Amino acid sequence: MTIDLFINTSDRRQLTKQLTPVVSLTGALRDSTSILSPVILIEGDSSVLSTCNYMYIPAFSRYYYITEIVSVRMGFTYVTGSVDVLTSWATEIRANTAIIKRQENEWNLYLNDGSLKIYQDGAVLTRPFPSGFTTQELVLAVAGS
Amino acid sequence: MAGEVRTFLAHVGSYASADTMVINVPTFANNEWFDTQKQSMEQIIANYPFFNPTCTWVAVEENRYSAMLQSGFASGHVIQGYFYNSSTQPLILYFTSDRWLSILINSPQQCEVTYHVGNVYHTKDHSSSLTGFSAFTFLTLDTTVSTRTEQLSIYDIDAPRFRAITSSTETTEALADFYYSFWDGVPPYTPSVDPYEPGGESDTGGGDGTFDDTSVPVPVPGLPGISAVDTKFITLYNPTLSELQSLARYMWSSFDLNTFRKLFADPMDCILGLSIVPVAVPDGGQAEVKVGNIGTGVQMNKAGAQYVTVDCGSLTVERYWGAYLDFAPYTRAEIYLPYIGAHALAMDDIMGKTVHVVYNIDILSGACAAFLECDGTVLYTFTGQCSSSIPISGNDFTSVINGILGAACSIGSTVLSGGAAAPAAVSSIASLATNVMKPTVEKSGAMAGTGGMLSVQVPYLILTRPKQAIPGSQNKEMGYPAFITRVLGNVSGYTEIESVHLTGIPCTSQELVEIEAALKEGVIL
Repeated sequence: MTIDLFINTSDRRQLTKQLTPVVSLTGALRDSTSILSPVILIEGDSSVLSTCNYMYIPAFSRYYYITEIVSVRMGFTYVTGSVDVLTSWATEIRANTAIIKRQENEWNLYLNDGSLKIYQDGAVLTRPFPSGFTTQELVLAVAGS
Repeated sequence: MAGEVRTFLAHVGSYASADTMVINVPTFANNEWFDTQKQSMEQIIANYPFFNPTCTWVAVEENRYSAMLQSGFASGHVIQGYFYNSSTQPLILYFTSDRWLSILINSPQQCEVTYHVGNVYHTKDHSSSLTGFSAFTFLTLDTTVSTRTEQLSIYDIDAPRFRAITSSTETTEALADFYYSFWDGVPPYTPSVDPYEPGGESDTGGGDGTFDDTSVPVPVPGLPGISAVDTKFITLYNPTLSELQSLARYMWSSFDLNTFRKLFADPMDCILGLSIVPVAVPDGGQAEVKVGNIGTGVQMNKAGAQYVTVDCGSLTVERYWGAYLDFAPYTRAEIYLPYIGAHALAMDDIMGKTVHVVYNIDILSGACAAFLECDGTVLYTFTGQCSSSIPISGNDFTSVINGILGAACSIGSTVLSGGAAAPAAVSSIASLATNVMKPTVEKSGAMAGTGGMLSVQVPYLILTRPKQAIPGSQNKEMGYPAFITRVLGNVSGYTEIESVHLTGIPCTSQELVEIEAALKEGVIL
């Protein structure tokens, strides 16, 4: 069993993470562990592990955030992971069709969802029409033709 | 009901139907229960229709049973029974205590088992410790009998959209009835009474609109075909000041009163009106003014027509923000019309359109009608009074003054009613807690006659537009409203999902819930 450890500098919301490989460990799983929140006892240099915040376990086909690193005794460290569902299933997620509520690049600003904020003071503009009443004339109405 | 032994039996193999039931059986060790209760189970299956009657109780393959025992996990627990059908892809359910349930699945497919009450999923997890089995799941049982719906589902997570291999939903009421039939001394479950059952008053409907967007333009009307002048009872003149002065001199000096009195009591009765109009009077040619059919010797231009059109031109109202802020209630519009006053316009009517103002005017009475054409169709019509009467007798002067006073009172009442209504309006607006709802203020009073002549003579639009607060990188941080359907792989950047039916993701249901929640909260694709 292999565990690839990384430094992740990406936003948690990012499907494709920016990962810097640190170390790849090989070993055997001796105890039962969850594949969603695995707790793995690793024999190795804890100073190296402490720099990592992300890992990939090929056997589980999943990427994990490292949520906790506990040094238990000399040379042994517990690493607790929490599955990163977005990166683990990024390809499958991208294949899905969805109704998009908000988007960075494709939008329709005529949809009123109240997200555009306005100041309390508005602008008042006047726009005269091209022409109006420019003359004044007398009208005399007399009975008879 | 806590502490009672509840055993779930599940059957798989048919995608079309599936059943889950709750029964109470004595606790036996290992396959003793199976061997002794086989006949009873067949009877149960036959007697209870919500347990699939087509399911048959088949022989257990000893090697598979042994494999379960050898897994080591069963030690220390009482095996109450397990069951599988004759499907080519058998699935074994393996039950233990009264508080928790373990399910062992031996299937070529990767499976997941969930147990939930209503929408609350109970503990579920996969274990990797049992080599050779696809999944091993712990489920914590809720033995509380209630009216909630309980469901045990087994999903084929390789199939698109997590199609359930087997799934059963029975109300606890039904399960309880069945349950108590095996439990002596316990009173049967009494369901609550719904006074509206069976209901059925609601109905489906809608969606049957014609989607007909046809709009037939309504143009500005032409001028009336018949006028008072056409009757020849009245003649309209368009005098100059000097001509008018000549007529006045004639009327007050050299008038043949005896001849006139054959027709009228007072010479001034023939002068029906003298007014100032704000338009060019059509030229009808020179003619001698006759008062009571008596020639005065004064020549004046006759008015060629009683009705006149004044075209004030057009304005195009362009969108400023290119967003919903360009419309009500954020952007508001009013139009000031000479001799009529200011009136509110609906932004939907004018935004992005060309507004054209045309007046039709009667120079005899001074009545005017202003038409607002929006993109070629008349959407607004306002009427007013555009002539200023010149008194030529004591009675005329009184009526002019009364008219002015009437207009002034009209203005006063408008102001007073506006003032009284303002606090209530502000109060209700404040309760709305929104910064777009602002009180509407009257921008003009009555504009008729002389008052109108003293006012602005050009119509104009008054636009009240909001100022938008636009933080930097708003599209990257929170996106803009979209409400469009897209394949997620075809969009990039920050994305929030309104709705999605996730398919083709071979993950656990817990992960699926997390993915959907993350998509709805916002992800960066």
